[in-house]
Amino acid sequence: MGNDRARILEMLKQGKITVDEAEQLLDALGQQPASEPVSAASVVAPSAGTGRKCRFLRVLVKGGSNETVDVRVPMQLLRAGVKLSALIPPEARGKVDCALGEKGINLDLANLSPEMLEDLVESMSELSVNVQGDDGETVRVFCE
Amino acid sequence: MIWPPSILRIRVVGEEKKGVNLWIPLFILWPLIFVAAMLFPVVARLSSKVREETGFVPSLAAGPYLWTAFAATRGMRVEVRADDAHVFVGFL
Repeated sequence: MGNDRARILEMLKQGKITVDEAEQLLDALGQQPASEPVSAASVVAPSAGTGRKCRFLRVLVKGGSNETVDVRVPMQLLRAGVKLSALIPPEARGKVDCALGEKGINLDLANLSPEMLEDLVESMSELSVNVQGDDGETVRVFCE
Repeated sequence: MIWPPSILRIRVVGEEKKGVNLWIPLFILWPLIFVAAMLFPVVARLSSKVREETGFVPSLAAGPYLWTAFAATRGMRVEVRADDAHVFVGFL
């Protein structure tokens, strides 16, 4: 995949393709499955509901008068964010766990194993939220 | 391995079709980051010596995590349209 990306950038540099074409090619390349071997944790069967692996979390908001917001967040960023929680100092983590416990949430991010994290991300592939307002506003949250 | 984003694209178009379209080549930074990664074990060893002698703990542990988070931004994009105005920020 690295060679393909380098080739596209080289073609862009040489002027053989336009900027928009390069963007489309890089986008298409980003949606291809990784060719390198994957860890056992990531070979969890895709959810039965969709039969595909969730790569991005999309949030689409359409307002009444041609106003749209489109946000695409890679699921890898979610994984990285959870791992970043390991940097929270133990005393602060204890307070966070306490506060969550008071709300009835027993989530210990420090002890979240890679398998559990992968299961959590995989289960999000079935996530789909559709909200429609009275004036034609829509909010959609889904995985793709 | 997760490939980090190679280009940061920022596009801002106003109502009169005037605006900026920036393609920031992040791949230029890759060699610098590679060198930093190569030097990381040396710096980590030095920091452990500092910790032993002074008790000060450098926050080096954040390095790999922040790098992973940066690499994970590839494919992230935010697009906002309102009438003729358009804002796009994307990591390609």
